[in-house]
Parts: sequence; structure tokens; C-alpha cells
Amino acid sequence: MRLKNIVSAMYPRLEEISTDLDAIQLNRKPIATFFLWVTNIGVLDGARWFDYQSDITHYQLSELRDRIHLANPAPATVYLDALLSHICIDHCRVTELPGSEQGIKVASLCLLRTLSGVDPTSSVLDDIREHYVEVIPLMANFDGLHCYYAINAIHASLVTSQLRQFFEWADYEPDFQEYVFFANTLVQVAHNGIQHGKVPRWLLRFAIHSLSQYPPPPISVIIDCLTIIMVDLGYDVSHAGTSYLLWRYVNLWQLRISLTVRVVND
Amino acid sequence: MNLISEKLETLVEVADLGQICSKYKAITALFPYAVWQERYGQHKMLNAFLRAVAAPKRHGFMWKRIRPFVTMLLNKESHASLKQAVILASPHLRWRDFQNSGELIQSLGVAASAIPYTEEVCVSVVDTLLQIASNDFLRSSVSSDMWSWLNKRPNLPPVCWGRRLASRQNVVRAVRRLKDVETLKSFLLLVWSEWDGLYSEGLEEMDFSIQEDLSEIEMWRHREDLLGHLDHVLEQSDLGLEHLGQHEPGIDEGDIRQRKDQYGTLREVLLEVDMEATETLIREPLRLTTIFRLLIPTDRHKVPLDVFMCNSSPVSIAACSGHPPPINGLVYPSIGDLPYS
Repeated sequence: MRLKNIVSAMYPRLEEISTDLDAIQLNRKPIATFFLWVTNIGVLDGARWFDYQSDITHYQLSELRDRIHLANPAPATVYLDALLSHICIDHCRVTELPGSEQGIKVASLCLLRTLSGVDPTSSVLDDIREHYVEVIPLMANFDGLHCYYAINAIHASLVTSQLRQFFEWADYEPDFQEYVFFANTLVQVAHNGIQHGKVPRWLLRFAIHSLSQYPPPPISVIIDCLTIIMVDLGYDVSHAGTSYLLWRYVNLWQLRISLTVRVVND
Repeated sequence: MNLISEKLETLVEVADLGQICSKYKAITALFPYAVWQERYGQHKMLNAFLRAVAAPKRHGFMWKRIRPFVTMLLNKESHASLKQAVILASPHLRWRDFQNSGELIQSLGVAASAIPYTEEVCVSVVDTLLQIASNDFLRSSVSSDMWSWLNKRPNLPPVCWGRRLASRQNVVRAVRRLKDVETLKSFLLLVWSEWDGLYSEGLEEMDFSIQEDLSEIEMWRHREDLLGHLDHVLEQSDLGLEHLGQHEPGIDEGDIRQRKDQYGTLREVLLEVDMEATETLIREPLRLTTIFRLLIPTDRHKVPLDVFMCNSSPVSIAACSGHPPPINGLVYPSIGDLPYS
């Protein structure tokens, strides 16, 4: 999936951002990582990462940051409607309509992303949940969908039944950008989960699957998986302040060295 | 600065075992990261991880979801440091979740032999081996090479799930079926400990084993080692609740009494068998001679002199000493003439 699609879906009124990102992407691939860090983790950390990765100036960075901060993400219902418009439900079997691969992928990823940012105690989530369960059956089967993992994650987030928490990650091999986007979204899901008492198990299964891969997943995915774990261990990600950012930065640096050594050795 | 390892260390240091237990899935999920760090020379994370998984003293602490990763690391091509990390963590895996894992267990055995030997590695291998052997579905996957690790007799820690489970009847039977006295003795020396009681059926099987597998005259040295070990175990058990309770908070005086009874029973059986063997020895002086000749010189003093001198025929004495005894001027055959020489 192209980052442009995601950005366009998330920020429909700021199409110029996607243009900017597209331009930058020509120079550097890890732009998606940068983008997600800027929007979710904090500009400072994102800046450090990006500074490390490319020759993009801080001026360009701050300009981009300002534009992103001006953005007003679409409400979750927009993405939910978009998602439902791409699928067909026959009893419990959910299939995608022909030609909907890209659309369903974007819609599901953006819906998950938006859900992760919704205050879990607000009535907004209840409204979305109500709308969702009216259409999607509890025991829905999403096998074969291009957005299998994202939609399962949505299902697990909106349906409280423990039965829906056990989907497997064994075959999860997304492309770079989707992986980065997805992992970063799950950090927020973990954070919401801990406010309700615990991080959902399927998130830890995602972390263990991703960290177990060889060759390792993108660095930002590793960091996000570790963050999910730390959230479950009781580390307050949202209020950790500088030490947290430093921790991320230092680990990133260490990992880069490690990975470089590995590449050289291999 | 690594907040993850620091967090783990803090959990262990403040002995927040309840939290560690409730977070076993999250802690397990850190294992791959710890392993990759280890691979590139950063040991802090794996050390912190191993301390965290060992702290709660819970059987099979690690989450079963780690299995695919463990399988991958035991691959032939894996670097030795990765294999070593798996070996060190293996006592904390939930082996009951590893059914139909014959190949994996064999890979574990191969990996254990392929990495540099250390006492820490040996303890982990033996602990894991005994845990696997205690599982009826996995036991048959333990190769003779793996069983031979018992003969290294590492000092197992006070809390050792392998040792605790190994006194099950089926495990004792499996060791007996190996028909290797040295391994059997090593097994008993490892399993008999003041830190653990024995399963009652396992105790019976050990009783049979002593009577059937260790009753031969030639086994006297094994019996002596086992008796010495039992004396030590009973002596340690006498230190009481304060000593034994430091690693097992739930233990009470009744448990200690039961353990002492169990080990006391085994000691009696061993003494009885030894006495019967001695009587047999007295009845069969020729066999004594054979045994005595097989002993290395430094061990000969261990045969009771009165038994030897008072009950052996002149032929025996002659054979063992190498000098014909000048008794009544009789001429005895030389060693080379004896049928057993």
C-alpha cells in the first residue's frame, strides 16, 4: 500500500501533504516511519530519527509537522462505512467485492488507526460499536480478505468476546509501509487497552510474532513491539517524557548498530 | 541505557512476584529481543530476562507462543550464541505444550552438545531433560546422548522443576530401562535432594531399582556413593524449616518429616541390599577376589578387611596380593593359573 493512500484517507482535506510526502519519498524510503512517529510519538523523537536517516532539513520537517497538526482526521464512522461498502457478508462469511482490495485495505487500516485514538471511555466508541455489531456478526470469518489482520484487530477491538481474540499472526507478512503503520497503530491500541486494565493478548501475540522474525522487521516495528510490551509491563508511555524518548532513541541507535553488524557478518 | 532490562531487573529486585507472574506473556515476548541483543554481544537483556523468568519459581513460566521462535533458533545453521540462549531459557518453557515435538527435542540435544560447556548450560540441560522425561508424550524423544548429560551431575539449584518432576514412577522406569548403572546412579544422586520430596510411586520404583539393579556385589561402590548422598540429604533436612523454607515458602514441618521418612526408607533399603550383598560375598569368595582385582589400588582399602581376610580362601588372598601366602607350607597356584584371571 502506498503511503499516499493512507494519508489521503486520513486527511482528506489536506491533499497537499500527500504530495509533499510523495516528493520526499522519492529520496527516502523510511518516510512512513517518520510520518508515524511525528504524528504519534512526538515531533522531537521523529526529528531525531529522521535526522539520522536522511538529509531532510529541520526546516522541511517543521513545515511538514505544522501541516500535519492542522489536519483534522475523519471520524471513524467514515472509515467504517467505507469498509462496509467494500465487503459482502453471507451469514458469517465475509468476502470482499471485486476490485476492492486497495479500498478495503486503506479503510480497515484507517479505521483501526482512528479507533485507537478514540477515548475508550467516550460514547463515540459505543456508537461505532453499536453500528459495527449490527452489520458484522460476532463469529464473522474474515479468511482470505486482504485486510485480514487489520479487520481482525478491529473486530477484537469492537467485539468484547474472548472468542475473537485468538486469530493467528503466523502468516502475517505485510509490505514495509503497512507493517510500520500497523505496528504503530497497535501501540495506541495497547495504550487504550491498559487503561481498561490490560493489553489485549492478541497484541502481545503480534509483538512476539514480529520480534521473532528473521530477518528482523523494520526498526520502527521492533520499537513499537517493545513499546507494546512495556505498556503491558506497566510503563506509562504517554507520560514518560524525555526518558522515554531517549530510551527509544538509544535503542534505535543500538539496533542500527546491531543490524549493521548482522548485515556485515551475513 | 535500556529501560526494558532495567524494568525487568526492578521487578525482580523488589520481588514483585505477583506482577511477574501476571505478566508472563509480556515477559516472554521480550525473549526474541533479548536473544538478538545477545547475538551481538549485549548480554544485559538476556541476563535480566533469565532472572525474571526464574524469579517466580513457577513451572513452565514462558508463554507457549514462543515455540516457533525456539524452533527457529534450534535450526542447524543458527549461531551458537542463539542456541545457548535457548538452552538457558529451556527450563522455563512449558514443555507440556510441546507435544509431537520429537524433532525439536532432538535438536535441543544436538544444540546442547554443540555449544561450549559451562556449569550453567549443564544445569539447564539437565533440568530440561528431566522435565521432558517427566512428560509421557515426550519421554520417548529423549535420546541416549541426552540421558548421558545426567552423568555430568551438575549442582541443581534449590528450585528445580526437572528434579521435582523426575521422581515420577515413569521417569524412574525410563532410566532403569537404559540398563546403565552409572546413569541410574547419577539420576538418583540428582533427584534425591533435601529441597524436594518424592512421588510415592516413584519412591516405590526407586526401592525396586535398588533391590534389583544395585544389589550385585560389584555395585558396592555405587551403593556407597548413594548412601553417602542420602546421609548428606538427611543431614541437610535436619536443618529444619528455616533453612528449607527459604526457597519454598509453603513448606511446613509435615513436609520435612515426610521427606526425611522417604529418604530414610531409601537409606534402609540400600543398607539392607548392601548387607545381603556382603553375605553373598562371604558365600562366594572367588567373586570377591575378582572384584578386588578389578579395583584400582587406592580403592582396595574400602573393602572391609575383616570380611576379606576372615572369609576369603587362601587362593583369593594369594591372587589379590600377588604373593603366595605361606600358610601351612602349601603351594598355591599363581594368578595366571586362576580361571578368572
